[in-house]
Amino acid sequence: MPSRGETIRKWLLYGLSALLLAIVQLALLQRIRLFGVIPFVWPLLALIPASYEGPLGGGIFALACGVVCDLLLPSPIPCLYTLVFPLAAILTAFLAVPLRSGISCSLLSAVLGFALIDLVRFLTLRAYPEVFLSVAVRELLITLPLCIPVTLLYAAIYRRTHENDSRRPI
Amino acid sequence: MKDFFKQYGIWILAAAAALSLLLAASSLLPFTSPLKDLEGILFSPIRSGAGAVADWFNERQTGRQTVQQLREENAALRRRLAEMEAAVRQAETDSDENTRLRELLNFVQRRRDLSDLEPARVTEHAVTNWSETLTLDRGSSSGIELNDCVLDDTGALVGFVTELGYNWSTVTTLVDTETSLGARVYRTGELGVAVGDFSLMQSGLMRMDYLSAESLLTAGDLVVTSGLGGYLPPEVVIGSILELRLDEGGASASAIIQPAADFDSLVQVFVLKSFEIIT
Repeated sequence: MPSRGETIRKWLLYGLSALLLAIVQLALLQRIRLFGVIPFVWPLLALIPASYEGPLGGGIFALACGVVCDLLLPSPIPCLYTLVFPLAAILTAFLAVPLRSGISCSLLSAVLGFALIDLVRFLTLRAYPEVFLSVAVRELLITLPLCIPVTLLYAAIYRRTHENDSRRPI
Repeated sequence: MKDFFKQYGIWILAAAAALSLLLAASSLLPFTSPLKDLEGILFSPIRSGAGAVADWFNERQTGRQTVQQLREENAALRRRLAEMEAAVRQAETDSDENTRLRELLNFVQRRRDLSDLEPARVTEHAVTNWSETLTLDRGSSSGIELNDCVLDDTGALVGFVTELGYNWSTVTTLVDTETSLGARVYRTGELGVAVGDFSLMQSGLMRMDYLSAESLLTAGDLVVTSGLGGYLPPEVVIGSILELRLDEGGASASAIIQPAADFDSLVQVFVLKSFEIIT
């Protein structure tokens, strides 16, 4: 059982990493348009830790990330990310049991997160399905490659903070 | 999985529900969240700096034209100049109509009631793929308030201030799905509501609803603000009609509008801080 200090240090590292990724999104990625859309890294930074830390820790971390996103980003309903991120994080954590945490699990969790967010957006924007899907699919496809550096970052934190554990991610 | 939800699920759900209610309640309040304000203040210099770096880089890129390209361009321009001289001679015979339209669009001379303008530089275009917004480098410290309308240098309507910080503000453009304003067709006087539509937003267009099914509008008709209610100044150019569509049932019609402002190329805009209602 890790000590309180180790737990605080672990989540502080996850939080600082999420902050770094948020700064990259706000300062850099928002200025890039590939195939007409902006990369959207927020679901990745919120959901991928759940595949390493389990449903409880990952769910609470995703809830915190969701609150920050709702305070910073425009969305069709005021609590979109607060509701979607914890649910997606819990599902990600259970997906990680058979799949083992790693790049493939991160890719699936990203698809899951985007699917849930876009479902709510589709219901609120009332757009033509083909137009909506065009934007949603392009956004997902240009964001998926970012799963690799984000996963490597969080995997490094996991290895650093679980050095005594017998389980290791792929 | 069942054990997890039995033990912790209800607490996480309760926390998420409580936070959602708080966020929903705070969204109804007429001020920007402190976290958003802090983010805007911290990133304002970065946006300006990143914009300057991008501008420098673009200037280096374009400065690499070769001498041969310049010679070809010069020859093409001479041919173009000859064509334009002929066009100018033709245009002189249409000067009466041009003078009338120029008076309509000559914002500075005509609209003395709209003189309280604050110039602002656009530092960012859009933060997500689902909204069409601009971030400006002016905020409450410059006297800007929420819902102030924003104009381009020709006096065309760009959008409205929807988020406000100390030294930054966010403008929701006309094509965004959150936009809805009273509009009037300048030629016929028909009233309607100009709204953003996500499907049209991808093409930089918007829609005007609640038009009569017997409407006599044609492509190219100018659409301006109606000014009804006093929230917006009247007769500010919104755009021009592209096509008219009958709604299902045929009882009413809607028009597709091409906004006059070019949102993608905007560098500087003007925030209308106050206006006089001239009766």
